[in-house]
Amino acid sequence: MRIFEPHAHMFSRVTDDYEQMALAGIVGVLEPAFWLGQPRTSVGSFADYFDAIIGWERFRAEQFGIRHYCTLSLNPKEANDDRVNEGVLALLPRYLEKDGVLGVGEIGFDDITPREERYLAAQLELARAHDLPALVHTPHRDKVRGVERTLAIMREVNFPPERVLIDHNTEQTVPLVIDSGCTMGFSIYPDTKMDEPRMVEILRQWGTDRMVINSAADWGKSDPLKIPKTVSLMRQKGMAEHDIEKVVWHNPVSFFAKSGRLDLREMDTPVSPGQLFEGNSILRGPRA
Amino acid sequence: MTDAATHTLFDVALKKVIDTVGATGAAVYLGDPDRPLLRLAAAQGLRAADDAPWPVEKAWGKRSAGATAEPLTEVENDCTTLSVPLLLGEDEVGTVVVATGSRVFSGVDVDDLSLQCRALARALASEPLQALRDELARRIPSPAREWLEGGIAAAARGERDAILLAFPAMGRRIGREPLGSRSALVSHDMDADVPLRSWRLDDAGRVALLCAFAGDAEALARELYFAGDLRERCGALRGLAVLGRTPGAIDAVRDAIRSSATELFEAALADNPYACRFLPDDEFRHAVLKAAFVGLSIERLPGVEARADAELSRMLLSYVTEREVAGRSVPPDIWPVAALHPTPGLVGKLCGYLEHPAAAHRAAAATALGRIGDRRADPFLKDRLAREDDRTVRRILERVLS
Repeated sequence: MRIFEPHAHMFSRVTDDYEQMALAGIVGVLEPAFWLGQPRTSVGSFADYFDAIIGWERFRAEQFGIRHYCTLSLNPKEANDDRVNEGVLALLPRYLEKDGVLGVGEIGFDDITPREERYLAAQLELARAHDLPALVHTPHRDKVRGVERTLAIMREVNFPPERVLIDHNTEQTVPLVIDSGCTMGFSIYPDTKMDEPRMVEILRQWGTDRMVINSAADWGKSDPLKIPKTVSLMRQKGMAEHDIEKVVWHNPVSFFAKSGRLDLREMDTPVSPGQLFEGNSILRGPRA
Repeated sequence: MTDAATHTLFDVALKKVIDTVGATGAAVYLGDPDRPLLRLAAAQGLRAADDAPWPVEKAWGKRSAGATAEPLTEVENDCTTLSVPLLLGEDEVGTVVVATGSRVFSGVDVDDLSLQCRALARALASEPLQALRDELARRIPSPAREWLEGGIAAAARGERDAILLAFPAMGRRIGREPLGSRSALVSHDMDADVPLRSWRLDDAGRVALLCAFAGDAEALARELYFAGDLRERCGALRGLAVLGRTPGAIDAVRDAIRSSATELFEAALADNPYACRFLPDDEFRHAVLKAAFVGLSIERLPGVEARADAELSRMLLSYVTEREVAGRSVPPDIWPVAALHPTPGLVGKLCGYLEHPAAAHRAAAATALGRIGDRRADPFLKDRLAREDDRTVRRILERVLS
């Protein structure tokens, strides 16, 4: 089964992860821009980070036959940092036109501050201006309140919910989001957020429409194989194959295809620089 | 080029061909763009003793498409004509047919004719912008073509912003698949061609915009490099290969050479005359060594032979030693370059590689020994020739020994 991983911070992962992900059937991965654990002190650090995830990271992924896409943004935590917030917002328009940028994200709330509200609204406007979907992070603390504020701001700026993915949902937030029209993301984590058995239960209770799952693997304790592991449990619990495929492939792919920049043929026929073309290595060029 | 200028070009070229080998006559045949046929474009002298006319068209079967000098060795002995391909890159755009009577030719004559025909193919080539348009027209569908033509027109009006917007969008607009061309771009004011063999569709589209730009395209390519993603950077570097005329954008090349992304490294160096023309000696040597190290054939660095020196040989052979100590294979294309400035012991090592199981190593070792010209290698070359069954290696061995 093909899997699209719609949320993984591969910047922080090693090549063994790519290798294992490819073996487990992951053919495409989306890397949302987020914070790096350590605060950045200048806008230039963001430019380098964006350059890395539209350049070097894409190259790394393709060496393993995985297509790499991203969403770019000023993340909610650093939206509070006046050393960088305005400058990053000014930097974004140039980057949002790049190939492989399938949305604006992660945006949303961390501590639910006025600054976070302002930059969430401003970046929804950017998404509209660049005709891109938005990927919204929900806070670890006071999550329900954060989801409510997110939905309120979307309504205030009149951003279409079918172009929003609200991520890191739990049993408490599903009832708030399920009727909004937004796509719902669930991050399967070793300890926090969501785990495999709870996830399968949510899908049984609420169905598979507009539901996507991800590993949200990053620099913390996390596991980039959480989607294939959840697929195993879905099968054990008797979920139909087409429902599983809907959650790990059709839903995330059709959501990000709303960017108009996701080429499905390309994901079906990955070509990496190290692979053979017409029987010759591209690097060495055609030989007599 | 006007018709009159083309005919003058053919007349001069054919006269030279006839003089080179003492032929009775010669004719230029060019490929028909729409059908698998060669059409007579110009002729001089007699085709045969019976004064039979040159046919106006001839079949261009699969055997001759893509043929290089291969058929020529067979013609030497028994046929009355030589067919020399007109090669642009590795693409045969036509053939020069030489009526030879019963004369026997040397390998030197054949090499000479091949070079003359390459020069003629080059002289006939379109300007890079037109050549890229023709390549893309065959490969991308109509809406994408019209979008690109709009960008080219805006670039020709000097609209920088249109290029800045089109550059990142190129891949999703016209595709990222390999261009699949065997041809090469020719800038008539430069002596180095740019092969298209490893270009992708988006590379061709981006370079077309740069070529069309009514402004400082070199400075724009540099700017686009530093603002670009991986694919845009590759496109900017390939643009510099075609239109770079000053060292003003060499810092983009330096940045790419430092990269570990082989795709970017390749675009900076392989088939890229700009990098090879403007990198200082020490940086060029390190670039050659890194190419060998990452598995990029050093043959693909234009001018590597002209710029090779004793220090480069030392560096390459030290790399060879390091590989051999670790029990690893060595890229064969190192040998002909190292042979330009041989180090002690190289002849002996190359004689050993004449017996390598891989034909590429035997061919490279034979070529290298031919360059060194040390007679002590002759018994080993002859010994190998007696047992060699690879045609290409045989031809090289024969030439080295003649």
